[in-house]
Parts: sequence; C-alpha cells; structure tokens
Amino acid sequence: MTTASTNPFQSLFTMPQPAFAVDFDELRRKLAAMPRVMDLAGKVRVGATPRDVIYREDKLQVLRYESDVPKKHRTPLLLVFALVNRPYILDLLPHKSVVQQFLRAGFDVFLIDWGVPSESDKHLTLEDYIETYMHNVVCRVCEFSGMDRLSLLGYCMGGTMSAMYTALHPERVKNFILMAAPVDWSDREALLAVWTDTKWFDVDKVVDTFGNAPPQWLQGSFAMLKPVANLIEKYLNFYERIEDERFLEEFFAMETWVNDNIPVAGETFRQFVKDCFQKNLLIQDKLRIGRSTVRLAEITCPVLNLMASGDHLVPCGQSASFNDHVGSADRKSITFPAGHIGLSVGSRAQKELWPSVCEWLAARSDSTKSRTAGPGGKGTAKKKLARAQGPSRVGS
Amino acid sequence: MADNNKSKAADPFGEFWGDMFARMGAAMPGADSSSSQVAAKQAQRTFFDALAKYCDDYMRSKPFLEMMRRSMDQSLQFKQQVDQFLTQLHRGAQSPAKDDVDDLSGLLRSIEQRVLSRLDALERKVAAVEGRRAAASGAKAGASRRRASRGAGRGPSKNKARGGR
Repeated sequence: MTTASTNPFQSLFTMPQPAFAVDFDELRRKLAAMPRVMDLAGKVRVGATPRDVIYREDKLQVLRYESDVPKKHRTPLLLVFALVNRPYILDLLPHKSVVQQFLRAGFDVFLIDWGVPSESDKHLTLEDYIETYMHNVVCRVCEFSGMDRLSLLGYCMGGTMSAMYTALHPERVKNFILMAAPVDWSDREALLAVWTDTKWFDVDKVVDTFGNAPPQWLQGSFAMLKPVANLIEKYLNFYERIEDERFLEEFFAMETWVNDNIPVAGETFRQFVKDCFQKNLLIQDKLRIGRSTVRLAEITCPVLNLMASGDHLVPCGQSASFNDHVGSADRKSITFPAGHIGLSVGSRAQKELWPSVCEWLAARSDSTKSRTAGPGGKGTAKKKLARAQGPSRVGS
Repeated sequence: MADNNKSKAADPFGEFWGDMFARMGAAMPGADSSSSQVAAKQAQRTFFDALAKYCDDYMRSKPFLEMMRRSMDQSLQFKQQVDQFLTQLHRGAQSPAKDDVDDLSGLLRSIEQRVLSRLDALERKVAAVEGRRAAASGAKAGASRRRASRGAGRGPSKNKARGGR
C-alpha cells in the first residue's frame, strides 16, 4: 500500500518509455497472419472421436466411442456432463480428450448427450433426469455391454447428478469418479454462491418468467465470474500468440464450446438452485428425488474425487467433503493444479492426471481376458450381481 | 480513524488506482531499455491481477449485489410486460399464444404423471401377485419333494421346479 507522502501517479512518468512503444514490425506480422487465422477458425472440429448413437430418448442420445485399441476392460464407462453446456468438452480435440485417454487405456466409453431442451421441456425435474433418463441410459449401457454394473464419471453438475443416481441405485454402479462436482454448498466463498444467495437471487421469478434458464444469461454470468480473464486477458493473449497455429486451434475449439451454451430445463434449474445452492440439502441427506431421499452413505462402490485447486466455479471446498459422507471403504481424492475446465482439457492434466485416473479405474474394472466384450454380449450377469452386493474392499 | 474509513469507502476507485500505480512503480525500480519488454509484461500482469481482485471484491459488495437484484427484477418485469402484451395481441387476433401452449404442455405433463403413477401402482401389484405365486409354487414343490423322499414310489419327475421364471 502507498504511504500518504508518495504520489502514486509519479511512478507512471518514471517508467521506461520504450516499454510502451508500439512494435510496428510485430503488428505488421500479426496482421499478415489474419487470413490464416480466419482459415483456421473455419476449420475447427470439436468432438471428433468417431462414435455411434446406441440409444435415444426424447432429446437425449447415448454415444459409444469407437477405437482401434482393443478393449481391455469389460466394465463400461459412462461419462455424464452438466446440463448447462455441451458434453464434447470431454472430447474437445484429439490431444485434449478425456474420452481418448480412456479409449487408449482399453475402456469401452459411453457418453450422455442430454440434447438441447426446448420450451416443452421446462417441466422436466431432477427426478426425470435422474430416475428416468439416467436410469434408462445406465440399463441400456449395461445391457449393451453384457454387464450388470458400469463405472460412472460425472463432471461438474453432471457429477452432482451422478452422485444422486449412485446413491439411489448403488447396485448399478461399480466405480464412481466425481470430477469438479459441487456437493456441499456450506462453503459460501465462491462468487457464484454469493450471487445465488436467497437475499440476492429469486430463482422462482426467473423460471416463472423465462420457463427454461436462458443460455445467454447463464453464459454471461459465468463470464462475469472472471471478467478480467474472460474479457481482456483472453484477447490480449490471442493477439500475442496469433501466429501460433497450435494455440489458434485450441483457442477456437475452446471458444466454440464456451459459446455453445444451452438452456437448462426450468423446473430442474429451480430445484437445483433451491435445494442444492441455497438449502444445501444433498450433503445433509435431505434431498428428495421423487419419492426417495438421497443418502450419500448408500454409495459403497470405490470412489475417486477429482478436484481442481484453481477452480473458481466449484472450489475444492464444495467437493472435498463428499468422501467423508459416502459409505465406501475404497475412496480417494486428487486435487490437481488446474481450473474447472483445465481439469479436463489442460495440457498438464492430459499428461499427468488422466493416465493415473485410468490406472485407478483399470484396477477396479473387470478385464476382458480371453473374451472380447461386444454389443449384445451376455456375461454371467446374475452371478456378478450377486457378488456385487457387498461394499468393495479393494485398497486404494 | 472514522473519517479515514469514510473517505476510503467513499473513494474506492481512487484507492484502487493509487495502490495499483504504486505497485507498478515498485515493480520496476531503474529498469533499463533492454529489459523494457519484461518490465512491461510485469506491469501488465500486476495491473490485471489488481484489476481482477478489485472486480472480485466489488462484485461481492452489497451495492453491487443490490444493483444486480434490482436490474434482474426490472428485466424480469419488462419481460413479463412484453409477454402480457403479446398474449393480448394473440388473443385479440384469436390465435394461440405462448401461455396457451404452456397450459397445454402443463396439462399433458400432468396426464403423463397420472398415467405413470397408475402404471407404477399396477406394476407393484403384479410384482406382489407374482411373488405370492412363486412362494406358493415353491411351497408345493417342497411338499412334493418331501413326499418323494418318504419313499412314495417312482413317478413322473417334477422335481425341477424352482422359484421364479
């Protein structure tokens, strides 16, 4: 802090002037790069890993990813992302793809694409998403793979919903990975938690007026959480690295996703904000989904809790206590130095985090041995279900 | 002290800019032209960090939150008025309005819920009936096995009965 006797503005005039001189050569080079920039912007391809749609229900689709790598694990892996954005963030680019990481490790990877809700979907509740859609998807994936249980990875709000599903249907989930997912809103430090406080935010008015939560409003709110980074630094960085084609590819892919917000079904949004953000019912075992109460202690499968230390959207405090509330004997937490999205697409996460996650999951998945799992394959389903009833005792 | 606090609260902008420039000056003591690029980067970094912190503090402050709530209330009110106007326009033209479609979809939704609830109840009844039948046929099979084991003689084998399907 400045002392009363120092004129802070004086230092502006003593700074080296060349520091602020415009480098015209650099400017000319960057302008000359513009045609190439426009060309790359038009060619960006996201979510490019080949896949098939194996199930459809209303607007939802389940994708099964294809790979030349032989399957080493019979336990299928289902990825569940949030309702707020498109799920291809998990398969953004070939070198920034969580899907590819699991495929290379020999997993059979499925993903729920929730689709884009329309006005007619505004009545959908959390119960519809969890007890109807997710349950149907899980049953379909298990049937497709010939297994009774699957591994579930939930990211962000998708992780919260996956936690609710696993607590309600523990017999269906063999392993559970929670990724940057809020479950405990007692930590009110995050800016989003401040903004959604009942004193400042009336979710009923928003839902009653708009029906679904509008995507532009959601996108604007997320951008305003870090206004300097999102509105100034991002474009300065773009200018500085405009000649780097690799950077441009990643920048445009990321921008495609960031600007691809979708509406959230009104009643789901209302319930999520009220019951989770404002009343924090989930961690207290008081959240009702339909006729059932969600109790995290019902989760007894192996649990891996991934958190990002630099996450401004879901601070670690909103995820960390999950492991203390589940009934699993085998539970592990990893706090990785990354942001909310960097946890999946960051270069360091791709190099260091995801290989170890794949190892963790591989140790807890059924291997293919001599039989290869294929579509419609039948395993010894009843025996596996009978064995799977008790809690896991595998050490982490 | 009270006056100092009042003037700080009254002039948050002045405090921010003063602090920011002081940090920038302190970050670059006697920098020469050869390190001017590095100095500029440092100054930029310091400026953005200070600005980000200021924005974060401001967006948590009561004046901002009240302004956010007011502007949201006004936007919602405006939207509602526009919707009401458009609804009246449609009604005047005897064409279906958004409210009518919303009411219809709400009605379909409640019909769907009622039908699904009835189906759930029927499914539970069927499961209960099947369970009782399985228990009864299991009891019958057990009784016939006991008779056979007491040396009732050979007959057509019906000992493969198991509960369930």
